[in-house]
Amino acid sequence: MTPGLLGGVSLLAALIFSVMGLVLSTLAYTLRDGRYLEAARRLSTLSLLAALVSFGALEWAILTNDFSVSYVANHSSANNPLWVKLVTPWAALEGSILLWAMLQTAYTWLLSLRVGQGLDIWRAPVALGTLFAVQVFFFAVMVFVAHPFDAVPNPPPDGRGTNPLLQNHWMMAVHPVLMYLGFVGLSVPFAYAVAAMVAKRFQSWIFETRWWTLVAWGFLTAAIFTGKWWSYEILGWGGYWAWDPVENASIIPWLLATAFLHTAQVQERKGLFKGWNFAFITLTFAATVFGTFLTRSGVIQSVHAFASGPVGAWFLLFLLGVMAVGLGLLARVSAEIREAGEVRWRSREGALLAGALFFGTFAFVVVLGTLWPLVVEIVSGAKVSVGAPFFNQISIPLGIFMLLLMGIGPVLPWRHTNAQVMRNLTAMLIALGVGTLLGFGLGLTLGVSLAIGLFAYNLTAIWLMVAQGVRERARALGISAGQALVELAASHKRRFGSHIVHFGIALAALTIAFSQTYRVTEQKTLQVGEAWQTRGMEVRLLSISAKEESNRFAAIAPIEVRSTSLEGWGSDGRYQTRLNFYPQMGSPLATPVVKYSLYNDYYFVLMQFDQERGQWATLKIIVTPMVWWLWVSGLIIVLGTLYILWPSGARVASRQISPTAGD
Amino acid sequence: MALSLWLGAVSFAQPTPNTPPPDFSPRVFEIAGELRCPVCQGESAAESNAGIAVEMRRIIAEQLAQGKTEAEIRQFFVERYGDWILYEPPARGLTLWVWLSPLIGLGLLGYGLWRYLARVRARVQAPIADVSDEEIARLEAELQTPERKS
Repeated sequence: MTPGLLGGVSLLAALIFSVMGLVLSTLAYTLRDGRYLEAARRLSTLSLLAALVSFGALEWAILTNDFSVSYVANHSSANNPLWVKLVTPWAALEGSILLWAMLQTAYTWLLSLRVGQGLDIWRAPVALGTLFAVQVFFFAVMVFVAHPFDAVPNPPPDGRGTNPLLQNHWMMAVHPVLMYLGFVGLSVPFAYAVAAMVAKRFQSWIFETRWWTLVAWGFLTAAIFTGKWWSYEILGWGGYWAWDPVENASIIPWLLATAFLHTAQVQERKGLFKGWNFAFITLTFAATVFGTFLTRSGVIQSVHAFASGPVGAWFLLFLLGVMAVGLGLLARVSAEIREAGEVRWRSREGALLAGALFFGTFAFVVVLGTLWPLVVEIVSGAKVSVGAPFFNQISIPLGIFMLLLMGIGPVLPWRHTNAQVMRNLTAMLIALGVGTLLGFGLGLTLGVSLAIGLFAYNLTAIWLMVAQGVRERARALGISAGQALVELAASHKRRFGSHIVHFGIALAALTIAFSQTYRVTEQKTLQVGEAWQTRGMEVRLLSISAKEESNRFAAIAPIEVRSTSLEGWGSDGRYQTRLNFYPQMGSPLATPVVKYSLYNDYYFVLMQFDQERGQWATLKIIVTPMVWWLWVSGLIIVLGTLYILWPSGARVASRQISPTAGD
Repeated sequence: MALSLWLGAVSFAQPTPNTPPPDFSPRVFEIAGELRCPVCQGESAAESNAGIAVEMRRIIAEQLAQGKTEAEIRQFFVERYGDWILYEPPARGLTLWVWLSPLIGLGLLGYGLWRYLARVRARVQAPIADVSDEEIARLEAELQTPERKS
């Protein structure tokens, strides 16, 4: 059997299993028959296996250079190094849909393990059926529109090669997988929500899906940070976030999921906001599909639009379907959702709601900003751009509000504010003021000074909360502060994890303020041997040479960098700046030399060079402060999320909810 | 030199003349960062290495040397390409709405939240008797679900 045939057959099998799973789930629901449910459960295993085989077949075809398979002929090359071949399945449209579908079957399978345990007989068929419906969509798209295994009648001797942007950095092996794990993971809370609305059990799903949502959120966060890193190291412009439509497509679900994680807590504790949470999780999942629609439809120009094809309309339909199911069900049951209570704004739930309000608004702004050029063109025919300068300006006030809330929220108690809280708030505000004044004193801009103040403010908030808990415990049990801290951290994982995550966010905000404000770009043309004195260093162009590599040509301009002052640059040595030329790309691709340090990052890009005599080369230097800490903050956020999720024996009950506050 | 051999082929794709570009100050890149590269997929004129972006940076440097202000330079590009060249949409006409979007979003969501809270509060004051027997039965069933772990 050829890989192409195996792939095609297994894809079809996966589609059939998914359809059968959907049918059996529907039967299980309408007939209330556990036997159908059991059969549907088994189909989730079968569809997972079929998807794995299909994905394996694609890898097989790529690794064996089987150019009779359309995807391999179009997106791979015999000359590709092994690691590029391994990641080629998600280098273009059909393969990335296959990866997505495979991960979806894995999540469906994981959910099926909960059937009969957490998921009762009333909800299980609906939850499982929802995920099967999602699977049907993805496999149908592959079978009917974007088939990776189409047979090529006259196989070429070599394929067209993989997108060079993806071949240039190992991060591309990781980033898309993380992104899809995050995107697909959000389908599970959505399935729980649909099941909850159908079975009219409005409260319990929120406890059950917290874990799933956090897993998806963690993957999404990791994906966004790895994407930033890739963009920083590859695109050669020394930045990590450009508010490009595809980047926006990843931040919209992240913002909505963040809002959901916060309002979900109000429902967990107080039984309130059931309706909002249904709406939010629907929109969050819809946003992942919306993102894919933007990326794949070609309606919007983007630097990252790696794969576009005829699937846009399908994704649009699917998006509408998701919204119709989620919001339609909500409209149907909203009158029956019983929730009663009072929300005090000056309490934890008030801060959580205000935070969700800002996250929701932020997501709204990003959606509108991304789509507006399209709207304007449709309405008036005029072309406009909504880009980074706009989003940067808008995100400053929104960011400040969110950072303020992030500090206050956890400090505020669920009920009334008391004297202790007021003392804490005073201390935090003092930290805010001192930090800001310190920044001013150092001659920094207003924005950066404020960012320092907000960082100090959030740090103080976390410190006060931890210190207070440790003090009380140490006194009550007569143990040392260190031991009290360890015990508290182990028994209140959720709270401590969220402190870690919040610290990471505060650090990220600080690094963004610094790096956005003080980034400097310069460009100079150097003759071979000439030296350039700038920003505390001396850069000498050593030579210009050409190199032929297996799948590309490279122009290489080695440089020697020496420090000329004490500050800044501290890595004297020789570095290779290069331009890579790929046959499938019109313009050359720069491979910047990035030198990380704790304070400044130094970034060298070869821009142009003397193509006739090799006498001169143009270098661009970008100096950006604190970027290294951005990657650290990303790691901290992901580790904090892992800390919350890490299973432990001593799990703290998170449901101090009274029955009357329930459904 | 091997270089010139294959570069002949490469320069096909890169139509820029083989003369060294001038030196650019940070200011050039700042201004270019606000302008769209007309042929690129969503990159600014500061980021892209496409011929036209290189040319735009050269024009900016030239005009800065002539003593033109940033506004005048932006105007120069707007006259040639229209508002589309600006990454920051003008705060008038149809694109004014984008600038208002935070307020619109906050207003819409805030209004929804306010309505929601009002409804929730009204329930507190409503008599408990309007909870139907069926609903109580359902609630009890849910409370008895064997496992409700988070």
